[in-house]
Amino acid sequence: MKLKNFFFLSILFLFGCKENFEVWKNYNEDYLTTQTSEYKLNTFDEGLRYKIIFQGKGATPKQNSIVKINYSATLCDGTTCTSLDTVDYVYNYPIGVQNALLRMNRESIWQLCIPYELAYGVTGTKNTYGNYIIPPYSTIFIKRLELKEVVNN
Amino acid sequence: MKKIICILLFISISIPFWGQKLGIQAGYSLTNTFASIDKSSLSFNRKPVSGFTVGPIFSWDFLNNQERAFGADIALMFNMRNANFVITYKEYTPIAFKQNLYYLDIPLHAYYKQKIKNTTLIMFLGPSFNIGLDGSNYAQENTAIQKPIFNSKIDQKELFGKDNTYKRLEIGIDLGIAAEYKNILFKASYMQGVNNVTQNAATPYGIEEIGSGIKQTYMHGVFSFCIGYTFDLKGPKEKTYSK
Repeated sequence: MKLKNFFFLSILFLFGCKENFEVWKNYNEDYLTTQTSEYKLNTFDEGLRYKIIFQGKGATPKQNSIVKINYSATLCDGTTCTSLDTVDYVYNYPIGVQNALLRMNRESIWQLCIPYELAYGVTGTKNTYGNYIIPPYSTIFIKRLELKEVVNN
Repeated sequence: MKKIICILLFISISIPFWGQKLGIQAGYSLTNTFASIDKSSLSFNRKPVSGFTVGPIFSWDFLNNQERAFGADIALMFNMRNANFVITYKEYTPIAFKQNLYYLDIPLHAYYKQKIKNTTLIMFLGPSFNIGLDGSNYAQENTAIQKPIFNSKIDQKELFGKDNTYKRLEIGIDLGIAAEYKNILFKASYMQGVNNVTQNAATPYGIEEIGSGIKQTYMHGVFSFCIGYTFDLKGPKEKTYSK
């Protein structure tokens, strides 16, 4: 199977096939840059862009904490996804959201712009039909991430 | 199906050992995909797409005089077929659908050869048994930002097989014309698939509203232009020495 895959990949390389979704990827990288400058976001070492809208004073979650959050996320084409009172373990969220939650206090409100490497990567996330909900290489802009409750285990 | 494929492969590999000539050919192919779906509000805007083809060909003459010959040949051609079309459906954003499929084509021809001066003109016709090996497809919105819809390669989804999108065996009619000059072969051919190779597409081309179970048709028409070189397997002619 590996030899067959190598053979086919070699053929594709010889014919100079352009990477799939290259245009979409470039749009998302531009979207990351423009959102960072437009909303004057700061940058953590790992690449996560953020701005503190409101600093809470409660507990800070850990990796295995259960949190209740509100958020509204937008893709570069304007597709939005709003979720209210979502309850889950911190480790079940994308890496970028986890990194933010681990730094937030309860009742904090942050603004985030998450590069695709810290979000859904090169595979994206799909529905039951196999179509993308969040395509590969997607930058996710969260205008408002509110950490409402923290339950530390 | 697996038994039929194995038998075909065995025949195609073993019979050429009795062939008179062996040729190696490679060239350019242009695939036109005939796709339709049983939904009047769905339309395809097709474009023929380039690929390549390469493989050996074995031939033998049954009736042969100095000027003309009748015979048969069989080839094992690795064929890359691509598809590229834009799909519009109701108020949905148009979808750009792209596909790479890899086939092993086994054409069996009957041919007629006519010698004209130093060139041999060959006309051939016969069935082609094409086995789907591997492939991938992806779809994106046909807009400036080309938002992805799905990608079978990222999902590592198999396209051929019993429970997958396409049937593995395609049967076609292959015809063409070739010219052989000093063992160099120039060949042009057209293969038209005659069976519908699509099956079990859950959401055709990423359009969820259509759903599964809808009747679909998917066939290939492939133009090929090859250059090759032939070897005489019967060995060199006896040398005569002058006294």
